[in-house]
Amino acid sequence: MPVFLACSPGGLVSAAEPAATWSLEGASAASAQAFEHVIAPLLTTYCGSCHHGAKAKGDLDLARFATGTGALAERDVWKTCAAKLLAREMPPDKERKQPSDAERGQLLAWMNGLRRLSPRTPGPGLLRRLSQAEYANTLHDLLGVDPQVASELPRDVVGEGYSSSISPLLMEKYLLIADQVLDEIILPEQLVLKWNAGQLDAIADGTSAEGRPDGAERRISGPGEISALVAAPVDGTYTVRLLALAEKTASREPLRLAVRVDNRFAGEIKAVATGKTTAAYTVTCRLAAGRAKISVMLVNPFIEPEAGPPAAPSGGRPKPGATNPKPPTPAAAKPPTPGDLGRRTVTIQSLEVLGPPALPPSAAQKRIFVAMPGKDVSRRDAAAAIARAFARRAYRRPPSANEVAALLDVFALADAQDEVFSEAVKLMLKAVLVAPAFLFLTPDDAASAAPGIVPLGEHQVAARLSYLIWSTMPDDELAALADAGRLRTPVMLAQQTRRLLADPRAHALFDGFGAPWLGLDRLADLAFVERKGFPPLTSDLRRAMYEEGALLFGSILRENRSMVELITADYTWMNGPLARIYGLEATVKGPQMRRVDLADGNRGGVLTLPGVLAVTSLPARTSPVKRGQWVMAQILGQEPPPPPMNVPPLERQDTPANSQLTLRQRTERHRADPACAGCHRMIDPLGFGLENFDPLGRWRDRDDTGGAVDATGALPGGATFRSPQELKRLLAGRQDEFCRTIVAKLLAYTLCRHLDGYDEVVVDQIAAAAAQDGYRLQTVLVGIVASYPFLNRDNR
Amino acid sequence: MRTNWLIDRRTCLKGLGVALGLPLLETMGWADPPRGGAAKPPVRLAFMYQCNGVHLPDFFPKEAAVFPTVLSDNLEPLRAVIDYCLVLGGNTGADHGAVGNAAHAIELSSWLTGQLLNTDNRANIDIAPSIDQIAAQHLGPYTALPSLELGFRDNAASGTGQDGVNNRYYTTGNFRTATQPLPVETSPANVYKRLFSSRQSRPLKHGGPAVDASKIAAGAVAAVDDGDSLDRSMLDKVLESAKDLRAQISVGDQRQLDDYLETVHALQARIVAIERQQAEAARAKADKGASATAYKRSEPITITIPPGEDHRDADHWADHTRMMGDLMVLAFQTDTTRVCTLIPSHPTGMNFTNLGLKSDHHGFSHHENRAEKIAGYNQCARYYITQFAYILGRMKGLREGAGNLLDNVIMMYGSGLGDGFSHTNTDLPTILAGRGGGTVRTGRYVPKISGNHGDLLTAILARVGVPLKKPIGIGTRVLPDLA
Repeated sequence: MPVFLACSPGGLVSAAEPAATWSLEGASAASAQAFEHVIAPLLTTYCGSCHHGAKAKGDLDLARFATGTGALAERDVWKTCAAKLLAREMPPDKERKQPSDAERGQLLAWMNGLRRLSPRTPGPGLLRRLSQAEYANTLHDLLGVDPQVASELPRDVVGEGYSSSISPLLMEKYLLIADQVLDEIILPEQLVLKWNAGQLDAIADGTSAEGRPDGAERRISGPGEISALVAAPVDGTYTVRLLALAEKTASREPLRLAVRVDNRFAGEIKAVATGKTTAAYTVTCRLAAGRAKISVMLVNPFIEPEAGPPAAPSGGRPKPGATNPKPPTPAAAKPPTPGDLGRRTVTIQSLEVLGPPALPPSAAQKRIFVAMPGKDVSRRDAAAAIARAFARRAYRRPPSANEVAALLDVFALADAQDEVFSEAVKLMLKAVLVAPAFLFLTPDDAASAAPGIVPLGEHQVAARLSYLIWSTMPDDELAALADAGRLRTPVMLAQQTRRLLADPRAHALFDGFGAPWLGLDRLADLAFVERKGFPPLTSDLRRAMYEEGALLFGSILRENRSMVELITADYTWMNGPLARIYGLEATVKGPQMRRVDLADGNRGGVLTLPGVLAVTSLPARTSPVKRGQWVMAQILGQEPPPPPMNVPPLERQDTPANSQLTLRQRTERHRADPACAGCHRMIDPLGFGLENFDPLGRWRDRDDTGGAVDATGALPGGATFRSPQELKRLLAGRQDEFCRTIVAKLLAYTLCRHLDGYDEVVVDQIAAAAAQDGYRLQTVLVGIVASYPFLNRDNR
Repeated sequence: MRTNWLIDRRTCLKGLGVALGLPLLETMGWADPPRGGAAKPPVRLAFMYQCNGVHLPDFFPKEAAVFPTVLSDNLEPLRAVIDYCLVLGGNTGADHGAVGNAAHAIELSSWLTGQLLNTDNRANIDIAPSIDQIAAQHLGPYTALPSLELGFRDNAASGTGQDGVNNRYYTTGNFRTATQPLPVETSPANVYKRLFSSRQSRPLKHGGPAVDASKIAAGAVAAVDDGDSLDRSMLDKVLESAKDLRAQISVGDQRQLDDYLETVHALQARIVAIERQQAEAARAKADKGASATAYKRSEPITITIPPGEDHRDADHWADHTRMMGDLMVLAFQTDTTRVCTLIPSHPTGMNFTNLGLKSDHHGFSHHENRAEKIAGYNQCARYYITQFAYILGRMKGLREGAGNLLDNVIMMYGSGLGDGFSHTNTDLPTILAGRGGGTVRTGRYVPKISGNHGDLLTAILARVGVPLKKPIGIGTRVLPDLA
């Protein structure tokens, strides 16, 4: 069973085996066989003269690997060999017999392929903390607040090696943010106060009477008032409501009552009802937060002699709140003569203070307050219902009985402080927002901790999926599927993955994965030296550069096109500021990003994104080394080995002769030093292929030294190019390597860990499936979501 | 328009309402146990990092005999405070060993840990607690903030780079535990808010001894330590509940959960510290006679924070570093924290466009012995040391006890790389500033110290009284050269 059929020249890709047939035994046998038939003869030919027998150099005697099985037993040896082969340290340049690039590729593919010979495991299940962006989005979905509330949290970059630890700074901010968002969405309850008039202090007949707890109505005849002390929770408009009954008099003028706040006039009531039953009268008034005295006072306690034409009687029924507040008429203030005149009498049954008017509850509030205490519902039962519903969403799984009990303990703690219901609920919700089950993605239940390899529960799969594509909590549809236990089938997972990708929230996948992959997340912090003829990197321009990448990535993903278009696209998005970089400012104007077809074949695709070209430049010039390294790592998936340590100092180079050299000529001197040459022979030419773009991505024919740009170069493996267009075409032809690079980076992003061992097999499988489906980007996502490490965890 | 915040001891008490940054009223003494008893100012620790090493011949003085009359190129900005500096030569850091190619990942992460990361688990964060955090465990309980970590750029990172080393090592110098890298605060306004306008903690009305600030102010209630706040009680319940989660997670995840639990404890301790400071501020406010004396002694410090959200562009780098330095000084002056780290730039990424330099610091460090690059490299070093000198000048200008703040500080400045060109772990540029309450003899240059970087870190911790079971990192002893 040959393993290397798919080796592209000089490439590192080995044939991907179909998932169904892969087994550790089978793969090991194939690898051992390949060693004996292909690798061992190559090693003998090119390495045997030094690494053989008792005097073998570098303590490496290749003769001891007589069999494939023996070779497989010593992986570390081959890891070292691979590094030296890749860096072209071996065989040394002075050896005349050098392997061809294809042979070197075969050796490397076999050596790197050994990583795949690992037992099948999904890798450890990590308790992962929400990143800053995920936390912000989750608060938004959970409570309807602006994600900006989390902007003070330290930023996170999700991906391989992501640190889940929580620092004290973070914990402190979680608590502060919880306070802030809960204060914002849970407003104090409406004030509802009601007294029988007999419970209130009163002044009648010149003497004051204290209210009694069991007091009922009060009858006031002649001058008098009742008053109540209230504590207004917030500034606002309150309603004072009075149930009262005026007694009939001979006068046509109705009895009038003044409502006063802290002894200042607030409104007047005409008590026209004189029947047997009380009527309700209302006055509205402004109250400032804090204590206030509300009093109701008779304005016209005495009946004066009729003067002039009788006042027209007011219409039949009293209209609540219909009276216009106006100060009592001077007539009322005229001192009457008691003996002659009758008194007016009023019976006040009750006084209520209500308000301020509640805003209609927001959707978020309705989702929180699923129950309220009432006649048949105790406060604790209502709190329990709220706790269960809120924790279900916040924890992204049903809370355990213990978790609900603990939340109710918190509720009880606040309830015992004489808090109003909503305030006590607030403390309970705060406990949810600082709980580990909210801050981390946690397993469904105790079964998830069983030793060995266990499948992830439905809820954790839902959460993983939604955080992967949206960077936020599952929506109702996903949650309902998990509740019903219907998510974990391949068909449903694929369907849901595609649904999530079609949603605008999938932009999060670019922010979380795409931007760091391209390096565009570094744009915000990029600094260039200002100089003439070099437009400043304004924040508008940075934003446009970032958005250009987002729109390209997003459209290919949403329209489910081939990822190869990421390299070959002959269109892009730009606005006015960005068009200046493209030299298209005459046709593209204004701040709006729009799609533009590109006539110039040197433009288009991620390689020539101005943002990418900028982040791979130095402050004042381009860096072919950085750009070449970017192409190697981000497109071809090869991390070049780091520069060797203790580079021997070169002789002084700032000679006049050297200053005449072009950047390319100077950079090429890297290759004069054998310690550097191996890698720079691979890296630099890729970067030279992009030398026609200046540090901001503008086209140029001459570089900073004034010399003509020489954009010729060769890919590792030998294919040559003469322009950015040709470089792109060559890279597009390396679609299998590119596909594998994207799959590996996405899988590491998804799992938040370093890929190793069996992961390599998973990457092969997903990449092979994508290749068979035209390298479609959605197929990669669907493959990842269906993959073994996505759906399982290893508790060992 | 610029906003000036004039903060002196008075405003700490009056203007900000809840005084988190408790002024150092000498009548009240320092917060050390027994509370209110200590009369001597405590020793504070500060750390300021400079990445990418230096050009050694331009950093270290040529001759010890003429020091400090003759200073080297890089040290010239320190002239005004050189009598408070101890320059240490021959300092060797951890051997880069198996991850030597990732020298820039090692330099910052080994600087305060005194050791190499765990190379067997290099894709993850696995190193050791840094000495600032060890000190914070010891000194933190007395102050509102156990420690403060400041930077210009955030230190978020993921993925692995050279030699398979986790990228977070490139950006992070502070580790709370072996697996807990600490983020830095990058916004001066946020730091200010954190120091001085933190939330008011709400006391329990029932279920615990009542704490009423007005009663404390009136002297009716002596202390609040046994008081309990709603948030702290709530966190207790959260902690209990979190322990149940243990049953649901694998053994491998227990560490994350332990880190979480520990952090919640730290938060509770912070709330306690805030409550105590609120109470003491209230008491001080009531004690008019004492504070009147203190007002006279107050030494205002002005911090200028430019308007707008983002003053973190490269052009404002120096302003930003100085602001952060001011905040460090203020936090020390008000005894809000006793441990502070400032990382103006981590080894990846900073361009010196503010100095008009055309290459980045790292590019200059690999100078290939070219004069023009060495000149740029030195310009970078002098830039950092100028900011360092500014902070020292601020501390020296603040009276404290019989001397000044710098008398009671130990501030280590340096790099985890010696010669940046060849990535050496020897001859680490190292300056110790401040007299550490009389425990550091400054104004000297020691060309060859009698120990390594681990010994130096051990000696620093010994000076603030941290009991250690064993020396830090590669250290084997307490470095004797400081006194």
